[in-house]
Amino acid sequence: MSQSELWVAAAPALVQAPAIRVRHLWHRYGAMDVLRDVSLEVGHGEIFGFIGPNGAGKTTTIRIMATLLDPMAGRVEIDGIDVSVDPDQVRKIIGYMPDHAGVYDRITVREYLEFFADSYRVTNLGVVDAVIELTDLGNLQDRLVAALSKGMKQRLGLARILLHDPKILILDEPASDLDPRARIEIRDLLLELRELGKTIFLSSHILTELSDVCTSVGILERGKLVVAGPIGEIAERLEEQRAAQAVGLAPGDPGAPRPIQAFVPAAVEPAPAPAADGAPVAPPPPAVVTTAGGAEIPAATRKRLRLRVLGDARVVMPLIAGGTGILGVEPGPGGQLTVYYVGNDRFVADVVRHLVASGVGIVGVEPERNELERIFLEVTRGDLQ
Amino acid sequence: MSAQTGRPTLADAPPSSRRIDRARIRVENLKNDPNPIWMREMRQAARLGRTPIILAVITGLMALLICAVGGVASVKAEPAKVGVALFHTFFSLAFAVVTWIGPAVAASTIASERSGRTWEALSLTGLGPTTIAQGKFLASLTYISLYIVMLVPVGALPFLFGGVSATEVLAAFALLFCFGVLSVAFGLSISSQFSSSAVAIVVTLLVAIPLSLMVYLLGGVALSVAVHDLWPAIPKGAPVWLPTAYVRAELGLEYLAFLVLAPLVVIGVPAWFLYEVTVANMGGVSDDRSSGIRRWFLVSAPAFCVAAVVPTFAVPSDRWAATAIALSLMFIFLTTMAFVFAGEPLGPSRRVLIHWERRGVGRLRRYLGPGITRAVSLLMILGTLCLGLQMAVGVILELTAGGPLAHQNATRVVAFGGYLVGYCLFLAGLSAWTRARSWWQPCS
Repeated sequence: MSQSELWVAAAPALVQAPAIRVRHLWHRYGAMDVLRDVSLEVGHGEIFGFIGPNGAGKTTTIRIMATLLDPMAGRVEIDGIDVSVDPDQVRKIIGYMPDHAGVYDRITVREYLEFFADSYRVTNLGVVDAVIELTDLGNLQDRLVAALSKGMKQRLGLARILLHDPKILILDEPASDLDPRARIEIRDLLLELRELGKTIFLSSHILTELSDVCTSVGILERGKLVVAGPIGEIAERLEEQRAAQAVGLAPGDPGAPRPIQAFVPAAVEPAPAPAADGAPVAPPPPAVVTTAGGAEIPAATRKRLRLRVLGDARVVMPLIAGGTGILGVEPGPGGQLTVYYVGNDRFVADVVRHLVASGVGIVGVEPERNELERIFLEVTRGDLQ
Repeated sequence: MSAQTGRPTLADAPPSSRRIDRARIRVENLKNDPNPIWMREMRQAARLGRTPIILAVITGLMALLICAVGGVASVKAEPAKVGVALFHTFFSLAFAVVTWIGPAVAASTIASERSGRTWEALSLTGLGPTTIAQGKFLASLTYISLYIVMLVPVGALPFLFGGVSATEVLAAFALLFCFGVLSVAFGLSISSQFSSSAVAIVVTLLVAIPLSLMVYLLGGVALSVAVHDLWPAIPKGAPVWLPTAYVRAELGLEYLAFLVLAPLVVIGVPAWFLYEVTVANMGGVSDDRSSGIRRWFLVSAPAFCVAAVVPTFAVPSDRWAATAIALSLMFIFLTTMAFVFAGEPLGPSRRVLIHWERRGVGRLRRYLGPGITRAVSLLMILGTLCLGLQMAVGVILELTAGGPLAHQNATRVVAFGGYLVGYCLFLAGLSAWTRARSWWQPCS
């Protein structure tokens, strides 16, 4: 074999496969398609948020990734390994925490983890201690699992899936039903795990929970992936799309940006449906709000800014109400002022400068940061399967 | 290294090492690194407050009952007869305890993992259905063994009265343990099919109670009459005759056939089948869930055939009836298997095919893999061979024995056997046809 042939033969091995690759995934329960041609990729070290309303198909996708369900059509690869062909190999490199997972009640936290360490055939006894320390379960290690709170059980679930040091963590609604403190603790733990080099695939329908931790997201609606990619990139493209619509360019026109549906991995060609019912999903009609002047604008373009001023907020209101880009102003207690507007960060800076120039003492400025909510509202129609 | 025991796991001995060394390492690892599920189940059971209470109540009730029966019986009967009566009473009740509680305990194990939503976490550890089934089996067997051990002092009471020997009592306890193995395997196989432990327990008890009563009446009371004809030392109509037979029967071909070979087949073959069913039920839809049951059939069909045909040698007075019974039993076995194979997948999955290719699996192994045509063809070939062998043995025995009805009986054997072979082939074909036309596909 020549050198070039050797290089060609070795090439596929040199190119690192993405942590998770889903290609044209279909699944059906009875007569209902729960997944329709879902394709996405998650790179190594990412925290990928998988968003969708209840019944969108998130758990089905995740169960297929976790080798618990066979796909009816399509292919799912975890670190380059096909889950349908080598589920045992995939199980060695993933840690899967299901939604509302059960636990063995009549053993202690340490015994629980020791049992799973043995089941995973972990040879190093120190792993249990290390995982207990990482998940901050040290004070609870001799307590019976039955006596743990829901948040602690979730933490124990996370500890369990870390025992065999998996490269990829797949978490289905990890913070559902948790109180705010437990949610924050789980979020911090996820960020810590990311720093340890883990790839995290995280599903949720609580957007604020995801926006804090995710590097990229995928939004699933009615079994179809409507958008996937880094949050900032999607937001930017949406902004471009809005701007194009404002000057009268329709999607597909020369010069118009790619429609938002094209955010799914570009290399993937659409696959035919496995059955007759493969009608494409129509793009969602944007929800609209009406401005004070009577003009209709997409609801998702409306942004919110919270200001705290010295003195009575109602005195300040006339200074900005009715201005260009201002959709509405609401006074609140303690000098709080909520401003609804259309514009970017520069616009916020202009508003603040204008108020300062008018002699208003500004104590705090809190622009709306949750772009994910806007993206979600803009790309989904809000109906369930 | 086992985290639960804190002891090191020895590396497997190289294949070139002595067999004794490999066995020693295996035994050492069983001690140091036991099945993790077994360990965990035992820990959980130890913390269950009701376990010692149930054990104490059952033992206490049993002791009271035996003392009451002994007290009433000893008023009129001599001590030896009281001892025999107590022996039968105690082991009949112990049989009920083992065959009812054993399946119920086992039935809740796998199903409770599913209903308690711990199954997914367990299956993702990579332990595999075999290890999980073994762990669950060991845990349930340990639990039922606790009952047996607790009952030992009560079971020894009949021995004090006389009429039964210590060996008979020991043999009876050993047989009780064997029934425990079967009961637990039965409960596990049902448990592996259900996702609700309550449903699994109810279904298990609904099947186990009538089945155990049938085994007790047919295999105990009714069979003891036939055994008494063979070995007069065995009392007629005694339900717990097998331990007595082991001690009092004369050694010979009959002893070997009825007391060694038949019990081995009767306990071993169903226990293996139930184990394979349990493992298959725990596997994924795309996994190879057929090879285990097919291997079992490949071994058990000839074993069952031989076990059914050997008694015909021991009954010279009515060979035709013995041959007909043997053929009928074999036919029932084959019919059951036709229904079992009707649930086979149409062919091997992509996963199975790829794994076969990678491992360079041979033709025999592939033949024993998933696929309705493979299963049915094996059933047809083995069924015809087994029934043919039984027919041949029956005909040869009739002709060599001679007598005025020899030719007529030989013709009867051929006609009856031929009919059974034809019907067996029809059933196998029918099950394949219905499966091929079925819309049903197994789902996980």
